[in-house]
Amino acid sequence: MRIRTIILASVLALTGTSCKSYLDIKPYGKTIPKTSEEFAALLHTRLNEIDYASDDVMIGNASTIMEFECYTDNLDANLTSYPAGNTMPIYAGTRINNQQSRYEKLYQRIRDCNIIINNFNTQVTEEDKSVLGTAYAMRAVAYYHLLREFCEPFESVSQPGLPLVIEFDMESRPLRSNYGQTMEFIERDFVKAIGFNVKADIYRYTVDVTKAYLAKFYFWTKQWDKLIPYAKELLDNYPLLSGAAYQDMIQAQNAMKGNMIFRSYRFGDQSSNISYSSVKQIVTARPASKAFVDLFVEGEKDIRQTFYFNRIRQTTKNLMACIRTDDMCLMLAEAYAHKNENAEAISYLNLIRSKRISDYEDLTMDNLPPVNSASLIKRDAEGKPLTPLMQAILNERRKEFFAEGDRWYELKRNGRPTFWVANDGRKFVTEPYLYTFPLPRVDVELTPGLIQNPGYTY
Amino acid sequence: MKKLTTIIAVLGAYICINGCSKPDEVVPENKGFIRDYVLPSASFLTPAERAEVEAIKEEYRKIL
Repeated sequence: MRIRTIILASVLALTGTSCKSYLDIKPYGKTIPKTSEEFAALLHTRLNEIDYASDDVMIGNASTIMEFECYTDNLDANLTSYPAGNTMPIYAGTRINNQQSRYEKLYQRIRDCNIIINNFNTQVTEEDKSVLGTAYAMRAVAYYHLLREFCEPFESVSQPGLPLVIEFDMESRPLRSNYGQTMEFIERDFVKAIGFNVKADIYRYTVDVTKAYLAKFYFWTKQWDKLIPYAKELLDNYPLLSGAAYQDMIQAQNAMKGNMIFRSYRFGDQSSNISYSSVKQIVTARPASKAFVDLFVEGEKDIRQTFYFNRIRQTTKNLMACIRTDDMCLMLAEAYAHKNENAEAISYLNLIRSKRISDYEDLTMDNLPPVNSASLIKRDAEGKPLTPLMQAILNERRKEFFAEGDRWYELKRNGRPTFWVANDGRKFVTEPYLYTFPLPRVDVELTPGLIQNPGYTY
Repeated sequence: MKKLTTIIAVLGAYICINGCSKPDEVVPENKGFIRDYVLPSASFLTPAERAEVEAIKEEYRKIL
């Protein structure tokens, strides 16, 4: 009898230990959404974060914008007043380790999109198409941000690109693709998203927003010919504003107005209003640099000078994360300049300037100001020395998108210049490698063969 | 009794061996949860750089 009990216990023990990986089974089909409403809920969680500005990676909020402005020469870190400026980064290096979380957050968005793209196969109703179209657009935009922040500026298709995660698999640890493969992947996603022709504004990444991002992607990857038709179409559909209407659009804290097609803070709740007001107060601790303010050579004839900052150069412009077609206009000017089609380039430059400067007289190739030798940017995106035309375009871009987080990427795109600021008797140098953020250390340690960006050691 | 001891010994050995089927499966050792990368340390300003910064501050003081 006793022997029988022991044998029974033995059999049970053998059965139990023979199923050693019973906890490793993935719950496929158990937790994946099924209906379009369930898939849409995944998206709306992310879209709400953008609307209420708790998102800080897909487009950003006032805090993100202030941080990125602090890394640049738009604000003068040498003039920071303390203790009000204690929370502001001295230079890009101050926050370089925090950027690892941006990488993780962007891949979290990609994970959500992958769940939808790989599991939602219905394309019957407009709702179905909007869900899929938005998922493709969001995935492309997330990869576009990763490309700008975690890869070096585009020089060749063989340089390191991004790990391409295309399906939801928690155990997958892909290595970096090359830049060409990453570009192809992002472009394909954008084109697919545009094919779904999302019109419903509630999905935010509508067909126009997707086209705008595609144009920006072509701009970043120096595909000038490809960006032109998209940028022209959007500029035609959303013409530039001027005067009070322009100021009203820029200074609206929550409304989307004029030729703005995408933004955070579509809605404000108590939390987002408090953080917004707080950032607006903090940013006054660091005045705009004299070199930047001096770019407004037309003085108060330029409407931007009248509300971007006050007499003591404190920022009064909205710290705003958005896409507006003024960007399309300046991308067109630069694209044509790179193609040596100067007449077209200068016409787009004059278009935007005429909307900002009263009694405006067109610039011509003969009366362009000379290249400023003190300018931080010495070479353009193609590595060529600045021409007066390119200098004028870059200056206009810097003025137009002040306090919108653009300058950091402009510095990265145009030669990654080295510059320094002082704090407490010490010198903090923005080295070229700091323009490309580090991949998370955890990923690098756990994934053999994952290439880290140059300059980062531990 | 001898038979019983043998069965228990065999069973114990089997469970021990199977309970540790993949000894290398553990996550590689991570020295704590340090995520930081080393940054270049800030240097002290040279007299020329100090003068440059002071000129910037002086220019700003004038507009206050």
